[in-house]
Amino acid sequence: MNAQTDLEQIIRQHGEELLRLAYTYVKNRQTAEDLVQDVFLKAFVKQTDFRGDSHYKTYLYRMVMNRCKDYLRSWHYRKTILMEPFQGASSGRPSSDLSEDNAVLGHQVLVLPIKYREVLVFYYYKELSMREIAELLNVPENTVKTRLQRGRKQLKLNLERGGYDARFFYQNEY
Amino acid sequence: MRDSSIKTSIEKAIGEQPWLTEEVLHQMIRPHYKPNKEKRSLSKVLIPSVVTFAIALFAFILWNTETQPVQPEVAAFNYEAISNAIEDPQVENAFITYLKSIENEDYASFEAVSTTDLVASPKEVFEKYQTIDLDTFRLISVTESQGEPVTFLVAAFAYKDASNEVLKTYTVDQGDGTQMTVSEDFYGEYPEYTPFTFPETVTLNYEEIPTVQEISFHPDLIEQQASVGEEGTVSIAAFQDGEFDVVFATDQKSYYLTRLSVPEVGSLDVQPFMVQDTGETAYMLQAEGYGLIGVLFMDERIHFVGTSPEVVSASQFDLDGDGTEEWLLDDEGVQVIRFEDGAFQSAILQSEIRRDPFPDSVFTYNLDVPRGDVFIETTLLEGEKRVKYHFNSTELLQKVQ
Repeated sequence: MNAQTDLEQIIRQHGEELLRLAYTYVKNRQTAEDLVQDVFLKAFVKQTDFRGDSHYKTYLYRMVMNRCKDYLRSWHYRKTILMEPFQGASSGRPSSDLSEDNAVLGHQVLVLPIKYREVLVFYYYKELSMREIAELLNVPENTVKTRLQRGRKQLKLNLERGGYDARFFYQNEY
Repeated sequence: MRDSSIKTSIEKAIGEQPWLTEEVLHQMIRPHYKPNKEKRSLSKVLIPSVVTFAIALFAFILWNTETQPVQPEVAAFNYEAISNAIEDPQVENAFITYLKSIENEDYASFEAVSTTDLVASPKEVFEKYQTIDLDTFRLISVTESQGEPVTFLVAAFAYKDASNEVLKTYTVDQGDGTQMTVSEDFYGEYPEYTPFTFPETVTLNYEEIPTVQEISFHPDLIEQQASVGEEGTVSIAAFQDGEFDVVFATDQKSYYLTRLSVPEVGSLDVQPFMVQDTGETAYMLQAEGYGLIGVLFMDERIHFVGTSPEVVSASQFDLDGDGTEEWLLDDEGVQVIRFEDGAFQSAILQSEIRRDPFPDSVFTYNLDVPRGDVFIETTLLEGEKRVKYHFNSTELLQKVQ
């Protein structure tokens, strides 16, 4: 098995979910692909001397998360995003259609501040436990819980401001 | 039980079709792929050369040791200065342990105190520090997070092959209270550090403007004022013209003129701070009993001063641990000043929103805008009409009637 096959195997195994995870941070598909490619190459190069205790998948999550945050902090991103048209959380018309509300809910998750968005994504989308999220983000478990609560609260508020159905929050408390 | 509708809704928002197509897969591999064959053939040439060179070098070192004692100058962290810069003994201990483990390439110690190994292997970290001139390494900022038991340390240093210095952020996290852990921004593009000295206090000196009311600045004028800067770096002057104008000069070539409404003769307190993300040095200007009157960026391009000369109403908003915003209403309109970790981040002046009528309700929330910018929604009464404004830290986005 040569290097290309090794790399291809790693990408096949983890690429799909890492691309989607990166997108939840940067919300641009091309950028997500570039960042994930960068992460794979770094992870691949140093896989022989990797000594961290965390599971390899968690390790990749962490790399993607940090790489995305580095990108979002960069001036390149800040300049780019400022030139894009603004879309407020309350844009669009209210809907009574539940499936449409569902799509709006996903969009609203992605426009939350990163600190809330990432815990919601890891908890609901990636289905990690609070403990796993705490280790991944390197914060206390209580912090994760607080961010989850605040994230849900913010999400609910944004939906209500936009006139959308926020019934999810009355029915499903974690 | 978890709400699966949120998972489904995120899937919908991202797109349900597979992303990792064969095309994407091959794009990810192709640009960087180097066949093993090449590496092997290169190794055949390189290895004998390296071995020969190493033998020759070893022989030279042995010979040199016999002829004259070798006294290598080993660069090391200045632990004393670093310790002095950190007040909290626990943070100090954790950070010093972290640095010592790197300097000694002590894997066990590094992994015990570090969480950097979650993004980079210890070996990778150690190798990176070998490229740094450790003699230049020093802490320039230690900030405790207000919301969480976390301390941010900003260090400046130069690489061995570069003369300019860069800034790097370290995070010391108290975690669950049992052990401090240290991590660093390993893959960041570190901003360049350009130190700039500014006096702690500058005195305003007034001078009547002889004829014209509009100030025209002449470089010679600065020489006539009491220069408070050292080495010609900064001078400040003020002129009495109903208001007082202040001239700043960063050097002998660049001058900045701004009008600050300072109420009376006195002095300005100048508090330097580092702008997060950029590492840029800026200054908050305050007069006694007057609050913030200006913020000064001293780089070549940006010069921004926000003023709040006659604050009629002030409100402060906590942005859920992300920082605070102070809203000041005066004759000029509404000024929004944003702080993170106690340091100034940005300010805007919305002249469209006048002080009268006062807002009957104001609230803010942070949407997905770049760090440092805040999406703000405010409802104001214009006569009997309620008008909603949306704006961020740089501009009014829309006025919702």
